Amino acid sequence: MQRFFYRYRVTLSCSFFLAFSLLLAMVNIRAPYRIDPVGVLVLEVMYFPQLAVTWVGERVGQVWDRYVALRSLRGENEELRLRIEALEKAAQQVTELDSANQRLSELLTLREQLGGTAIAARIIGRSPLAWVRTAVLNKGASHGIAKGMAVVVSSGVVGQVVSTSPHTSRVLLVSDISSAVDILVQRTRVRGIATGAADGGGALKYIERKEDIQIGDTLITSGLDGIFPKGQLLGTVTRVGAQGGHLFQEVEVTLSADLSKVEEVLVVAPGPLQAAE
Amino acid sequence: MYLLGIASIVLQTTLVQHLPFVPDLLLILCVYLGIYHRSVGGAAAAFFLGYGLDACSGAPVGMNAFAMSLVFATVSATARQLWLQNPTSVLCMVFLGVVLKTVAVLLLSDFGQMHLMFHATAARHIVWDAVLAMLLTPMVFTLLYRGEPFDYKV
Repeated sequence: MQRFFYRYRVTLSCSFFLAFSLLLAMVNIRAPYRIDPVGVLVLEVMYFPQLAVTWVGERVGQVWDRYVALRSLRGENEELRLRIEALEKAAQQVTELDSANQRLSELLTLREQLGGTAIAARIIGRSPLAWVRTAVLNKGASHGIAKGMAVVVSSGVVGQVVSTSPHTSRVLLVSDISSAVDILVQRTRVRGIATGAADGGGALKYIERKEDIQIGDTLITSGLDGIFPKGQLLGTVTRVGAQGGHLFQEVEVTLSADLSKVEEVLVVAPGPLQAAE
Repeated sequence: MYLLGIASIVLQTTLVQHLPFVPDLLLILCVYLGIYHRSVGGAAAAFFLGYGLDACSGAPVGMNAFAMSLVFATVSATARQLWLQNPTSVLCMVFLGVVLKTVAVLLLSDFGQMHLMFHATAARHIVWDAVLAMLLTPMVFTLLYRGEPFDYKV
């Protein structure tokens, strides 16, 4: 008997496991609930190995995501960099357009305030010489601009048209030494002549020593020269000095319009001569 | 061998599930047992492999245990009569094992009057499961055979 069991042990054990598993399966399939005496133990035994393997798998997956997948990020990074450059360029253009829009709106408002004939023009060139301060406009005689017309912006006086061609005009800026603008001190109504200074600023001439003029006084055009409309801002007094024995005060002026940055201007036809106040 | 069985079940239920195609590592192990461990221990290992799969998968207890025991019995009976220790025979046994396992599960589910869709799905995947198992068999068999103690190798 023992020899029989020993000789056919594999076959007998296979048969036993087959029958046992079949019985288990039959019972569990038909039973309303799961009959699993050892299943809980199996799950508990599997718990820590499954936990460990899953943890390792997740870490390996993270390494893959962080380091190996970074290869694809290089291309994406380059694409985003180019996109940012394009967007910055577009933003810059928008800012520029916004700035131009604001300047033109101010010019339009000034034009409405001045009334009469006002021609909008753009500065397309400036004098290459340091001691001659002129500018070239993109409009000329064919647009209605004539010699002697005033050139202004919303922040103040720019200059005077000194020569024209059919499509361009040359403007003598108020910062030029040979420029002369008839002005009034807004506070005291003292009259004088504003010219340019060597440093690019302005200066006042023919302000008598007895006249009341102080630092901070605002200077406006008087309209008495028949060129500049009355009341246009010229600048602010920044220094007042009186050298002994001289008849007139030495007055330095800071021009209100930044002539180096002006781009769009209004060319205004000369108005009627203003009566002296 | 039992530790290897536990490791196989752990792998089958964790890492392998993330692959696009899930190979049946336990079946390959069962075929290996049938060829190289035709013993009471081998039969018990096959049974417990199936039982472990039932416990972890939630299938009716005994279903996979029966299927694995059947595969082991068939392979070991065949190995007793034929020389199976060559690659072609091993691949054929793995293919046969997949078919046997699937048929056994289908029969038991039919007995349990499970939904017909289960049969159709199982039948459709039998070829893919067999091909995938056959592709992995050389690697798994090599690893298992190299891990055997020297005096155990045939």
